[in-house]
Amino acid sequence: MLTYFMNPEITVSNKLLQVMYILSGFFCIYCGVRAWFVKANKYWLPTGLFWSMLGIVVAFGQWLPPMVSGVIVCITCIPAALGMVKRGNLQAPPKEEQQKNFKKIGMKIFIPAFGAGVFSILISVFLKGWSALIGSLFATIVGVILLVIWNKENKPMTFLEEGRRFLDMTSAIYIMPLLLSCLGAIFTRAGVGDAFSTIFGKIIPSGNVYIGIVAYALGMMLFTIIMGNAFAAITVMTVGIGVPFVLALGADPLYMVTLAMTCGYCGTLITPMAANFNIVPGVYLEVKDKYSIIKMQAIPAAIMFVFQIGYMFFIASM
Amino acid sequence: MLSLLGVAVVIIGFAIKLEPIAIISISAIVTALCGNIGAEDFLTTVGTTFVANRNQLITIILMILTGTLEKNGLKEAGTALIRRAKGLTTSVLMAIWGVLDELFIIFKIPIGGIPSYVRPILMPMTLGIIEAKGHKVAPEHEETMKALYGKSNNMGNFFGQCLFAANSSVLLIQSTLASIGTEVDVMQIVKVQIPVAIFAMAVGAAQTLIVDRRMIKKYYPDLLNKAK
Repeated sequence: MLTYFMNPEITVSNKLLQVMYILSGFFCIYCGVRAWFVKANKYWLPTGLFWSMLGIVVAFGQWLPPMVSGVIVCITCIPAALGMVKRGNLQAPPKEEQQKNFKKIGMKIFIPAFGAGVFSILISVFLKGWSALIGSLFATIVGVILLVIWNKENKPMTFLEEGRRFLDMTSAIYIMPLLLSCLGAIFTRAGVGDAFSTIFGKIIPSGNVYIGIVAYALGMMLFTIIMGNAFAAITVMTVGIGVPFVLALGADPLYMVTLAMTCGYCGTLITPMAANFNIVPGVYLEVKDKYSIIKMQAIPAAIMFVFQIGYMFFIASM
Repeated sequence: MLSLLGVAVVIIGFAIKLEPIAIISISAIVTALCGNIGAEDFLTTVGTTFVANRNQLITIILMILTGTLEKNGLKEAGTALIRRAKGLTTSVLMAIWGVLDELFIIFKIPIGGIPSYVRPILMPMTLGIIEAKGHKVAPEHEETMKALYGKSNNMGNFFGQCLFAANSSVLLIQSTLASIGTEVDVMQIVKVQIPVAIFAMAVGAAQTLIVDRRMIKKYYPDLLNKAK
């Protein structure tokens, strides 16, 4: 590990990225160990195991042998798959405390809140070759310093415990996109993409990039409507339709795959499968017709879909 | 062809609403078994991919800041900001909120959301605008407001999130591109999404203005005449 950080051939950007992973990993381990000590619910053991294992692979992934990482990831998945990763004991700070602190700090509080977005943009504009992701590290450091200066009651434990409250809230579903990437890799190794393109080859006429784009975008949308999740669709659709019917004909992969994702989101807008977006908010608002949000989204979803197809056509025609 | 069983597991699993991580795990195992991938190969592939893509978890570090921001009055600041928007019509208030909601997502500002903002603050405010003018809010109008707020929240989230470079959707696009042999920087993905985000903002605001105005015309036409 030390040799990695001493090696002058590795860029500062990459080293900082590793620092960020190590800090994030330690934070996860902290949350896991706290869950073991606090014993907030009957699932404290699997919950703690989940966060601790995740923390180890996040912090030290760079240096662990791939197979060891694989084993740790599988262990991480067990409590998550069994639905045994539960929220801990932490509640949102009382409203009076939030109001009191707001009186003390005021509108300045927006400055650190904007940090993550602003730092990412600054880095990509001014630091050529640096990863925009480090913006999150800078934003956190600067934000923590500002909050400590503005309010002396913000102690190190405040940040750790409040952070743990948020990590708890995100729950195990937080690692789902990453697990889907892993599933995508397994699909690729097993030749799922090839099998898919054979099937789609019988349905979709190949050789016309525009037909290919429509099939790719529609595929993303339909898959997402069935599954309620565009993340799960992107790998399969890209390998199955995107590569053979769009990218093989010379369309720019960057644009096609990126826009295919948001075409999938048009599907998310109109499916009751995506209950957390389309049904649950309606429950909070006590709507009389539980599908009223979906109905309101149908027209903009269609407009966005057509707009993106047009955008992809335009790029493909250049 | 047998390897497609894993895909079937994903589709059926999500359709019958199993635990998502359980679906992914089962699908991975089924695919490995059907595709003749050995245990060692399986673990190595999972380990390599997970580590290579763990940048998708980068927002963990921001949580250290996010929670304390809330404790120090970020939500209160948001409320104070909204309260300054007096004298607006319901249509304009909802349209502005839609635009702000998307901006909060783009800059990853932990504000917004139906349970924390719309329900306790914005809905009463919006209803209050109509009531202040001596009308009782029509039930259909109230339902429309709820649907519009729900819609704005989703539109802003879906089409704004790809403008934040460290967002998991951006990083999943990056890793998908890498898996088919195209290496790109996250900021390139962000740039591709800029027109989509702006267009979504415009479509969302336009819809809110049109739909809400139609309600006002239907139930309290005198409000429109006064505005002229």
